[in-house]
Amino acid sequence: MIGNSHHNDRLDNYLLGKLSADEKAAMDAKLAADSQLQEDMLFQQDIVHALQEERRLELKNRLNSIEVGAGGFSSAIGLKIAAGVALVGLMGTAIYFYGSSDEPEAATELPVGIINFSDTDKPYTYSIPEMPAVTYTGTTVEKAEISQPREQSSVRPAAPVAIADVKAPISRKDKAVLPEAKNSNLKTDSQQNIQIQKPNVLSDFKDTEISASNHQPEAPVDALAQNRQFSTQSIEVSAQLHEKYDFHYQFYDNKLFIYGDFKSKPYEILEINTEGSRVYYLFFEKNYYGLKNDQQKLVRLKKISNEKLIKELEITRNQKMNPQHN
Amino acid sequence: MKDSEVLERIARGDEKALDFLYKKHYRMMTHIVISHGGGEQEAKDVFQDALIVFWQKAASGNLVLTSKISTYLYSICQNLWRKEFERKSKLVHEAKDSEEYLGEDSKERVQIIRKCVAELGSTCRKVLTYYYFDGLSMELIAEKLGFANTDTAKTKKYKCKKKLDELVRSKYSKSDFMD
Repeated sequence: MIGNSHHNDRLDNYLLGKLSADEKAAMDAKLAADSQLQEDMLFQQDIVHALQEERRLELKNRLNSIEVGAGGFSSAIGLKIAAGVALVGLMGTAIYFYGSSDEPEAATELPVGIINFSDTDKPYTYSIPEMPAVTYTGTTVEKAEISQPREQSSVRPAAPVAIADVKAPISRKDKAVLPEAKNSNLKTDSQQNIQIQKPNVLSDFKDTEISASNHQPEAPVDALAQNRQFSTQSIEVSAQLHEKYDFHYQFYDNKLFIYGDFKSKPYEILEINTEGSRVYYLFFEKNYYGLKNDQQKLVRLKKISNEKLIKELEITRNQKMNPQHN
Repeated sequence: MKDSEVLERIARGDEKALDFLYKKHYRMMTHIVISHGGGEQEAKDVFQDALIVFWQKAASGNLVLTSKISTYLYSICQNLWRKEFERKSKLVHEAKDSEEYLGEDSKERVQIIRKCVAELGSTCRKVLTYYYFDGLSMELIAEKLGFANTDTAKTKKYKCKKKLDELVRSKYSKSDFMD
């Protein structure tokens, strides 16, 4: 009986209430007349109940891991804090790259050869041909709120995963409060910037506060600072072994699926937040692999060979894994 | 997020919609229980159970919603708490009867089968629970789990189920649970 898939499908449909009234009546009659069938049905019923219980408990665990706290009020505070952290992240990143450059004009160039982003007038594109072009769509607050619980819930990657680094969901508000840097000030600012150790997290950031502070450097507003941050709030990653796909990936439902032997060796996902978009890279066994976040079909992981990009990713990864060196 | 969008996302098996509803309605729904003699943990349990009932109906396409989601959830919470309250009251006044022992027996069988499910591995567990609980179509299961196509999902489901049946039968025969 076990091998009879039609028979089992029939029992499945009966137990899941998928039969029509006539079909159900016919099945009831058969059950009443056939003790073996009845035994099979009871056996399958136990299994269906157990599977349903399994999933029910899985969902319950998921809900249990969500912090509900004080509802909307805490969400608002959370957003404020996130905005503050975003701003500090922007400033810190800008300071790092600007401060490490020999030429003050570097603020108008791209310190990292990963992404050429635009201001509103000059559209840039990625310098990596395999990555999708990014256009600013404007991340809505609502979207951020929805994705938050998943990130708070317990994501349990099968292998150790390290995510680089400072969360900075950019918003229009963040841009609005950024102080404008003037070219004439850039050189002196960059020299002063070296003194800056660690920016404090500010939850409520105002223009006046920035300009009033003599100790805080003005963050040069360059393309990088406007558009690029590193996130600790990782995308959910599912690493799986697959008989057919041994080194592949795909995105589905805002979740990254990587297939291959990732359980025995550590890997890292680098998530780089950009204006209205995110870019992901996989670091595995000393190599970097590009992850297109619109890649819904399974494809083989492709090693990044652009040396400049690798170098910059390496710097970024080391910097974010060791923030005290900033 | 509007109700229609929530429903649409649940129908696709998007669990983030569940998270969203949980956060959004937590206070209001738990208040129903707390204001009717329940504790905080009971309130949480009732709301979670209600939400999961809602999820299952919406995901499997068995839900025709004529009201707002919040109204619907509210009524499920009320019903669940009423049942739970009655069950608790009954327990206070009556000793365990044979019916309850039968319930324990069934629970034990469920535990045995769940252990077998765990032995199957993550992919099989997902395929089977998405099918038997969420009521997702094979097409969606294939999409969610990254299978090449619907046929692959069907084959996987068939093989996983067969393996589970065999595992459970071996456990049943060992412990004579079928008696």
